[in-house]
Amino acid sequence: MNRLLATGGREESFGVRVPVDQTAAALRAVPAWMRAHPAISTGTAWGLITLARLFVGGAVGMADNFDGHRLLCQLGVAPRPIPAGQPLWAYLTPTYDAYTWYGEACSAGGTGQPYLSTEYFPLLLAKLLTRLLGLSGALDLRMLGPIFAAGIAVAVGWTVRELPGPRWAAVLAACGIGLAAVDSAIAPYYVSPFSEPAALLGLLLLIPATLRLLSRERVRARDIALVAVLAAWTIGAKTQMASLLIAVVPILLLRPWGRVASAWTDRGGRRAVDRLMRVMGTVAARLPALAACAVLVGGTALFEQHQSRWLNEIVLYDDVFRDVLGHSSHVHGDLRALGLPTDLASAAGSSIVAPNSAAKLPDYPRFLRQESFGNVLAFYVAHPWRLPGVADRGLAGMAATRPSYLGNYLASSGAAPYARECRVCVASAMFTLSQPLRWVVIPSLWAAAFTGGLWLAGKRRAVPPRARGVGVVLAGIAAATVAQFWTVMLSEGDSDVEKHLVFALFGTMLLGPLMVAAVAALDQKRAPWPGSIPESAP
Amino acid sequence: MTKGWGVALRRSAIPVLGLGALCMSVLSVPDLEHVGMGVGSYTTTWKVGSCHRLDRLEETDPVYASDTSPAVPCTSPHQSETYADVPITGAVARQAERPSPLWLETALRGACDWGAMAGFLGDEPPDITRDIVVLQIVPSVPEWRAGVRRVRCDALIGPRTTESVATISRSLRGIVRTPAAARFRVCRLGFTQLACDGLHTAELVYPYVKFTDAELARGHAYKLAKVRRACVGLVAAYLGAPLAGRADLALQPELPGDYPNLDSRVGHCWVGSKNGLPTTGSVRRAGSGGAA
Repeated sequence: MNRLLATGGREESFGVRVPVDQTAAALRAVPAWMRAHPAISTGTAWGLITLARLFVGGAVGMADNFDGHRLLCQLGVAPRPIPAGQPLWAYLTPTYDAYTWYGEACSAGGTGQPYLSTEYFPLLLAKLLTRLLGLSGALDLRMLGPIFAAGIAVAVGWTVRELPGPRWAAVLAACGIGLAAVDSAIAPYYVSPFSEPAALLGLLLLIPATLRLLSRERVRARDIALVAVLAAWTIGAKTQMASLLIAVVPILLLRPWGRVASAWTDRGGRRAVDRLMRVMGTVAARLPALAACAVLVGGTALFEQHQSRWLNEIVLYDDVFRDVLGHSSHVHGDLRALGLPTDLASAAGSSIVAPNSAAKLPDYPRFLRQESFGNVLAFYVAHPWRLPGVADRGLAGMAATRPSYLGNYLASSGAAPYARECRVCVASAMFTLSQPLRWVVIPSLWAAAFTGGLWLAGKRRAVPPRARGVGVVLAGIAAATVAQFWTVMLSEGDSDVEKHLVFALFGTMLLGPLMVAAVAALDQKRAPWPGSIPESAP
Repeated sequence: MTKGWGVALRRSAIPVLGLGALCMSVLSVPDLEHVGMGVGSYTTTWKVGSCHRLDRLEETDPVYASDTSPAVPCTSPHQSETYADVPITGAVARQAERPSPLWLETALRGACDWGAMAGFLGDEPPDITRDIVVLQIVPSVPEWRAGVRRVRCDALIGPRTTESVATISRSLRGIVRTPAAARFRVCRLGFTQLACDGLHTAELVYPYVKFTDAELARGHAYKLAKVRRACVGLVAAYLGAPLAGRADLALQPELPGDYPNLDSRVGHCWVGSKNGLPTTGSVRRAGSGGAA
């Protein structure tokens, strides 16, 4: 290095000045630079790994099962027709041509109501990149690959930066998260016309954002806003992500806001006044978080309300006719319990477009008028012995990890129709192997993560707030994953369960690396007490 | 001061960029009122004889029940043509909001009369057509809310596969009486049914020859004789002349239960070239369907 500086980095050889020393020195400096900048280097590495796993050896992604239309049509594009004789959904079809969709031809299932998702924005960016790079068609879904690779790079690097404990442990845990993000059960979604990738990236980014929020005893308003925005992005990707609120709302309200906390709570005086002041202080210290929660909850409610009635109808139909009645030994009794006429029994187990669909029966309008998700929930409350069956179908779906009817390769790749890629099959293999023990492995992982996270989060006197934040994130992801699992199983049932449970699967995959981070965080020692702490101050 | 500005700029960069991206995206949508939806006025063209370009699968899927794309000249590529416009009545018409597509499909089944479409196409016995089906178009949601209760009856051409829909560049009005009808007539090559504009060995004549239960129980000779007898008049009407007068053609009777229609309870009159060699086009009487 010193010689390089002294000679200007150039070497005379056969009359040609070659910058060999300079290059060699720069290469030697790389490991040192990487050690000095673990967040940037780890993030960049996972961005490159994502790109490599998506494109080296031919692009991979997810075939469109016609769900892509409701989102892609908003960009004024239509898929290039597949060649005659090519099996439907067997291959990834990344090229879209410009097309003018009129009226309800571009809406959620033709209902005249839009299908809204934050995935629209990455797709818009991909369309722009397609044009900039002069690729064939108006939109090439492969352009989503670099976009999500960049997103993963940011998420992983940011996680390294926010994780407490030794750097090697932070890098190890973040690498575990990166590995989950590029696993074959997850990564094909990035190059697809579906709304899942936006939610997956949102989940990834929520981890460092929450760690950052909880890195202080007294939170900052801008960190609250950041977590709220990322949560809104994630929920806005897909309605089923509303279950995320079960973790995000308590996390936002967990710690007081720095600016108000001391002003309201560092007061002396009589006990009653103190108590009142403390309550007011607790509320005042959470005003930004309360405002963020109100916006999040209200926004989520509005978002859910504006979902297409037709999509809700399909989901409710599947829930009632495929899940409740399709797995029933007393169809007539269950119909009565649901408040539905028994002549709908012939449709038990059917899909909404099946030849024996209830939609073809005269009493179908009555089903639409009377039935609701609340009724189905009430049914399960009254028939709790049906829940293990529901859970088993969900766990089996998770163990399967991904839908078998959607191919991952391009038709030009030479791969067999419906072939699924297995470039990074770590989690996929582990879930598949755990299939016979799914009742033990998956719920145990959830329970261990939740209780372990809570335990770490509760060690107020032993570990610093930054380390306890890891416990909160671990417990939060575990809770959100369980909530996601039941949201899917009690609303959509086992229809296309492998695809619908991708977020529960991803959440479960994240628990392992977060447990590593939690163990490393345990090693952290609390700094000397910094002064009065709002919740424990006398 | 400079440091303060730097910090402020750094802190506000992400929110400002985010807001900017959001505003750009929103502004890039042409009609804010219909964010996430297709373009246009959401007004259906109800005119009989209007032609419609619906060349994407979604646009002719029963679930996508409305069509507010502007009509196109019938001499340009299109997929459907309106042959009638009928009112929606009954319980479904009383719904303030447009009901779900499947409910509508069930409630409006048969609203568009097949016979009316046949009349529009110029299809009359002994004609039989394939690859033309009825497509029912209902009012858009804004139209339904405004009280519009009518169904547009379109003749939709096929074949419509899982990959594509077919296209035509002329009006369908009276098409069965023109040589262009060959693509909609029913022929077969061996045992495979196909349109008559492709290579084929026989062409189907309508109507079918009906059998009672008692007749179905009788022997092969009886059934063959019955089909032959019934087909004489039908084929003569189809060709515009007795079959005996066409040295190049022969009757190919299909009996109930013959391969490949093993469950069939009717007989079919097929007419094809006597030498058994494949041909293209239709043998339908000139002026009613076009000669080969």
